[in-house]
Amino acid sequence: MSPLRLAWCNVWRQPARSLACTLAVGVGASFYLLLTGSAAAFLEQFERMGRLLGAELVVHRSRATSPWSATLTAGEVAQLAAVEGVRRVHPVAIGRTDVLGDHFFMVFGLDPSAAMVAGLRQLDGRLPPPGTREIAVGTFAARRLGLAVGEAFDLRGRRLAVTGVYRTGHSLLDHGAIVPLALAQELFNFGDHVSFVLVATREGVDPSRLAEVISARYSGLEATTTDMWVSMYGQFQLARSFLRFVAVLCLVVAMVSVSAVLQMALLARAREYAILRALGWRRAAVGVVIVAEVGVFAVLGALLAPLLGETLLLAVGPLQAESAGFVAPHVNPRLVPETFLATLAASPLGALLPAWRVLRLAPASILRLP
Amino acid sequence: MNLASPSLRPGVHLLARGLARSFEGGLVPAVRRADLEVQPGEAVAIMGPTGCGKSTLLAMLALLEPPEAGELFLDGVPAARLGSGERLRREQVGIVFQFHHLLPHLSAAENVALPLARSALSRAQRRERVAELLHALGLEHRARTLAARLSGGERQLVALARALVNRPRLILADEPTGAVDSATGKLLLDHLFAPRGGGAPSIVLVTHDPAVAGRAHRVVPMRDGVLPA
Repeated sequence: MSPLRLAWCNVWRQPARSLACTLAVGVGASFYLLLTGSAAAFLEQFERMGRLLGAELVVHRSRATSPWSATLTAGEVAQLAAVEGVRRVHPVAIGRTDVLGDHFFMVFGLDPSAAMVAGLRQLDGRLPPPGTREIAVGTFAARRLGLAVGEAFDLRGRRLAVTGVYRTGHSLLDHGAIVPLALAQELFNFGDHVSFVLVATREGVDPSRLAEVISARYSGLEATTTDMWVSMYGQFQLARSFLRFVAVLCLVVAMVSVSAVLQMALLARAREYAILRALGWRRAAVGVVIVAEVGVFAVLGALLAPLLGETLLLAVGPLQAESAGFVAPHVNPRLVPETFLATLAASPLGALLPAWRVLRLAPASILRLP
Repeated sequence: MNLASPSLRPGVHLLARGLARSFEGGLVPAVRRADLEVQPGEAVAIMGPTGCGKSTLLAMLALLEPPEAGELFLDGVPAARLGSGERLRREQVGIVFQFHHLLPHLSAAENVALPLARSALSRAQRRERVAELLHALGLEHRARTLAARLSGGERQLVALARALVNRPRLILADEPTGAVDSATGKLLLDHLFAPRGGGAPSIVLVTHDPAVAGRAHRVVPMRDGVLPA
């Protein structure tokens, strides 16, 4: 009987043990999938927002830490509108508030004429026109808060009439609301300040070149193309670094999880390995058995990871209300191949220590026990 | 029935001088001094009460347990030159453990075939040899039965077949009949000591049963970890 044939028998004929090992590896892999997926979703929220803006440039205060710090004055907005090559400016004020346990309920202050509105799909009613005390809510916010067109919504002490329900496909917007620019400034005490300005360029104007011109001309402002927008904020650079750390941590957690499971599984079978050694099997041959079994568990566990991830999400779903609209944990199909490879890499690494421990055991010391 | 095909390999000449082994950092002496010489083809029974160090001595002879003192020679070659002894056990030695030590999720035939993992035999030859042994032991109908489902006696017979499958030159048996009924014990011993044409293996048998020891050519007593020359 060859080592590979023995490994196959070990896996196939002991289904309970194999299932337990596979599930353990799968849970580790699903954590990796969920955590890296959530981390990626967090960044995507902001990166996709850049694409939603519908303009070529974004101008914000230099060294601004987040998009919801309103720091551009009305005078600066007017100056930007006068820059050569600028076709139109769309000031946007963003405020963050708490609504029924959602700490990241985002309120976007903009006028219906803003380019950003082009990305919206109006499901019901209309967007609030300037000068009104009306609000349009995202589809998820409407569902969560039980709002419909014609109802009233109390926001930061003001009673606002709901005039529309929209969908953008962007979590932050769909979990938030849109109000007229002036109303947002009033709600969040911005005065005449705005968070950033979207700039539509004239035909034939190079957006990157225009961004350089604006940044050079106004020392307190920073202009960037919309696709690079998010990376300009310090908070997001910090978040990105942190999420990279989280991804590495996920991998370590997955490895430790796999290692712990395999350690228990392998040490429990020390007698089997001792018997093989006593029959003249080389350490390497026993090692092949272990590696082959671990490989099977790794492949099956990695294949199970998306399913286990979805199951975990169902189980912890109610806990997500806190972060609704900000980070939506989900199984990201694009991360499945990466998770598969990470699990294949992590499992043998995680098995190294237990395999080494098992192979170092003296067969006689184990076989001596009844 | 003669066991399998006649072995053409003569038994090993085994010489042990002053072997000693203890556990727990020397606090528990298992074998204080063991001197033993086994001629090729000779069957020697080591008799002694439980705990006198018989099994530890057998483990040292199988190179499973390194001696702390003394020398061991196999066909005149110092055991120290045989490394961890894996190849020796694979090619020259058959071991029958007191507690069969079968892999429960493998069938009887698969367990018997385990020592042939690196054999030069073809797959068909291996199957034939395993089938021959199981037939000789009356277990051909249990060949595909998982070890976990065999009776205690059947397991020990399968363990014997496994020890014989590589046609060893040295058989080390540790209380082989200790956990089986008398009929199975007799069957097992009949096969263990069956005459083999062309060359008989050397046998070292550990037991505390005088009837079992009586089947050997020579009986040597062991007491308190000492096996006198």
